[in-house]
Amino acid sequence: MSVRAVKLITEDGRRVDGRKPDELRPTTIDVGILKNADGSALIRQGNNKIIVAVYGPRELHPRHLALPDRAIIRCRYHMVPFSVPERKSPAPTRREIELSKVIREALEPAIILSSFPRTTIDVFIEVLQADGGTRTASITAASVALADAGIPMRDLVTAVAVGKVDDTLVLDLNHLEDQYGGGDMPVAMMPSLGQITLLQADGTFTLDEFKRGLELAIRGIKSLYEIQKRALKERYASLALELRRGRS
Amino acid sequence: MIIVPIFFKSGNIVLPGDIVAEGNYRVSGGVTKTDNRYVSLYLGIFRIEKDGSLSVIPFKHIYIPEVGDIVVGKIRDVGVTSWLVDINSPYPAVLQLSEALSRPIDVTRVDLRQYLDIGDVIVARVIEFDYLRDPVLTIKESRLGRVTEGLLLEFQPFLVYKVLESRLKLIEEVKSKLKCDIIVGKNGRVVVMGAKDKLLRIVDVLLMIFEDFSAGSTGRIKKHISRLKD
Repeated sequence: MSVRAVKLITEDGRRVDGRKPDELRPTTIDVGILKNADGSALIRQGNNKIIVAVYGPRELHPRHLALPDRAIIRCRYHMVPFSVPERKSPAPTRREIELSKVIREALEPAIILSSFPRTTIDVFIEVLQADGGTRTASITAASVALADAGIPMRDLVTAVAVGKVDDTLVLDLNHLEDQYGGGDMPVAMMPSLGQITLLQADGTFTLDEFKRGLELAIRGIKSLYEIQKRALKERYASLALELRRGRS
Repeated sequence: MIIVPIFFKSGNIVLPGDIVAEGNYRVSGGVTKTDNRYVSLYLGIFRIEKDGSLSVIPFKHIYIPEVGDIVVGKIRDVGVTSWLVDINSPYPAVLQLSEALSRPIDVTRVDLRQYLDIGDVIVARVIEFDYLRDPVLTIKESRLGRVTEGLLLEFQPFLVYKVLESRLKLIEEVKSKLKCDIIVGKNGRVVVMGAKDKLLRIVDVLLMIFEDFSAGSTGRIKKHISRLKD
């Protein structure tokens, strides 16, 4: 049986899901959705659905992992078995272990770890439904959950991927574009400070493509940043209102 | 005078990374300075204090003990010569035997559980804390010690901070009006003691004091308290 090549971009420049090349997927973030966690967030970015729970800073067990001058971050990225069309074994895969590390390192520069020596901040990321770009969506949601937990941070961290589809640079890849496209470059940054905390790439990019791609990513990050800010403010504006109304 | 910009009004909600001001200011917490810019560290409320310094009060405050703080703790574990106390903080506190009992006892014969058992609530003072060692408590002062009966309430430490700063008088009034004892722990826990039959009314007033910070609320609460009868 012959497999037809997937057409990822139409003549009029629309992508498989009807987006323009520089368009993000529709994104919403809900804050404080888990009562037991110190901070939490649910992000829906296109067909991605990811829950993040943050616990801490809290006492660290086993004790020998503790650092005398700062907190450590433990991060677990995990895909639930029903998050992808074919059942995924719930055991952590190589990919998940690597992504846990990558996400942790993308968040680390933003958090003021020296405020809480000898403690741990635990970040649990559960991917409920995956459709490409889960690492970037996880970073975006995790930084919101960290802010919700009241952890001091230099800035939020926002992430998005750019990729190459038929030699066109596109923003915020979905699963098809990620699988069959010509390249994938996830970028995370602290938008307000203008510092990049994660930059990966696979596929081939020329220097010019890389530069334009990075600009595209930064534009995408700026609009995602606004969504993050709005989500956090909405959550606490309603809380502040509740406080103001008081009890009669 | 040089006019330097402040980008938020006192009372605005700010987020980590928000640039709150540029130039030269004093800072009293929750704000860090990079280059010439003041950046908020927390999700919270931006304030310009009376002395002109900038601060951000976080919505979710993480309690870090300070020497001298009165805290309300729960016994978590009983050791041979000490107790481990949960004080609503990333750092568990230690209560040494010598800081709990006035005379020495023979630990080989006496079980410490008969003094303080797991789950007991204590009012204590932090007497020692640095980041390298867990906080040390004492209950060897008047008003400190085990809470035998009463009610334990938990508030966000951020609200307690606000109450301790501006509403201690109201609490004193409630205490004298309803003849009860209210202890406000810096770690967000509040203990109400005595006056069993008035607990509901006390909780009602406390919720107003701790959670209503709308315009004119202090006046309303004062009026409410003045109408209270023992």
